Amino acid sequence: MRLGAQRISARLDAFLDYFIPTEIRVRPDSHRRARMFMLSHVFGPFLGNVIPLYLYIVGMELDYRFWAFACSITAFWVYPFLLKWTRAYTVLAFISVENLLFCILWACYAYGGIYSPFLPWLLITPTLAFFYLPSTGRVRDGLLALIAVNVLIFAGLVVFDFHFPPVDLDMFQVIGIISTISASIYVAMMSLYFARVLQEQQQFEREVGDLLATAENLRSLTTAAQQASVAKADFVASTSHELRTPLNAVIGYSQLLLDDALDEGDDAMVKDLENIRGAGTHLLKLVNDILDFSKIEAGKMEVFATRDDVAQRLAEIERSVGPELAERGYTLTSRLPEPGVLMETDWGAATKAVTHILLGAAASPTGGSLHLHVGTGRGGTCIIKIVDANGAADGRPIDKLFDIFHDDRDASPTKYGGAGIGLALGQKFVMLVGGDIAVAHGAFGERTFTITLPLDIPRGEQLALAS
Amino acid sequence: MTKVLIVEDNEMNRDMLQRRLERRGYEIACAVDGPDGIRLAQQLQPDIILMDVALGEMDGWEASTQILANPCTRHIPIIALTAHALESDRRKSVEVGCVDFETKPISLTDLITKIEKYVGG
Repeated sequence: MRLGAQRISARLDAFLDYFIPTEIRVRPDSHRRARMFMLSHVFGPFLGNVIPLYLYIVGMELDYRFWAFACSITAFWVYPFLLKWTRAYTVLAFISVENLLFCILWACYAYGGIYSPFLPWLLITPTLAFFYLPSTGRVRDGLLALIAVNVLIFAGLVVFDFHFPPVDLDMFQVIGIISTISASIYVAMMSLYFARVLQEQQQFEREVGDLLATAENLRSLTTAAQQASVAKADFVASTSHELRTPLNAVIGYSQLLLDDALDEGDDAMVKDLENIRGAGTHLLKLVNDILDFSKIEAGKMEVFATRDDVAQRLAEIERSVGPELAERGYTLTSRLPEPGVLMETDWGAATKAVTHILLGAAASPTGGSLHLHVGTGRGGTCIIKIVDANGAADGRPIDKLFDIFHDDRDASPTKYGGAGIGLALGQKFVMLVGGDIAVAHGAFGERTFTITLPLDIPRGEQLALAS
Repeated sequence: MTKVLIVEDNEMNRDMLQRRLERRGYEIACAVDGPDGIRLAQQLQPDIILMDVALGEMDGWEASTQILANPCTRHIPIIALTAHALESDRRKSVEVGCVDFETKPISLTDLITKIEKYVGG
């Protein structure tokens, strides 16, 4: 039932809007007035024509008085079309008010003068006028003046005893009631519609207000999150710097003492000092990794692209990680492309990416074997595969591999601590240079990391991708 | 004997580097900040300068620029020492006219190789 009423009301609105020009519809207040105007002009003549119909039924003479009255009521049906064609809303609204005044006063003049049963209709005129037009400034003054002039002309005719055509007022007792009921229905209809439109508009405004508040809230949350991320990066950067200075001293002085101990041939001392220096170096590396990670996350890591030979650069990486892999009990074999395959990327970042993934893959405390396979792929890409022959056996869940400090087992892959943030940082560096990384377990228990790097670094996208 | 000027504001870093290089037979002079470094470069005429880039008010880049702008000291090679291996630091070193770049913690073997390369040649 309620739904049915809603559908009818939606149809009605769509019908009324058909005649209303777009420029009026875009503003809620002018749209509301134009709908009232349309409603009044579509349904008004039905109610108004009840009276001529009655006059016709009771056998009133169909003279010029009758036709002028009936035509002035029916003329309201022309206004919607005029509005659609001329778009001159305010002018039409004024003419319509004048039409209404004429129609009412003419009926009074023609049928009974100041005793006319149609006089109450005059009361609806200002009500309707201010439904159509804003009740402010020159428009309001103009409307009141218009009504005043019409009433004065009518009053003038009365005062100067201008000839009223005689009518039988007894015949008008019934039409007086019908007329008053019609006027009441008319005003009630307009008021109800106005109330509904107002309610809808308030609800709409409330919803818009809610949406705006939500949007503002989201904006401030986003800003806060960005500020927090930058603040975190700044904090990590300054903390890292503070940590690095004393660490450099630990490493440097242990090196000094180590030199002395080596000179003196004190083997026990050499071993202790090597441990101090090794732990210090490991800690420094971790601090640097955290700083890199935080900088990439905050979008502060700059990218400088250069073009260089893939085989040559990868061979360099292989050489530099070789000793540390050997120390962990890993062997590294490789198949690199022929020299001549060039890639334009930030080679510093790309080197760190591959190095971190290689060292992150080599996390088994008992060692193993790694294979580095480099080639080119579809769409101008460089494919770097790192295969750990027995990788799946270490029990690290594949979906947690790139989480920071996830590896919390007691058995440490390195002498001084866990795998740290190696894989997570490697992934960040891959993304920094516009690449992608995937990991999969194979049928023979091997784990394969596949790094895909564009042979030409995408401009301007690196930072967005990384953060 | 090769004369090396170390410009470094951190006392421990300065001390370590001085002792490690002296042990290898270098003659070391130390400056504690940028202006001090510029003054000693002119006064002592070292064979090479090791310049920390993160100095106090006047940073190592500025001090290097001034040393290389002075006709009395422009011939002295400068090796920049930075705390972190950033590509931007490497570029900046080249821009201001440093001959090379070394990151901390300093690997003595690498540093000596670089010193010998620029002093010997």
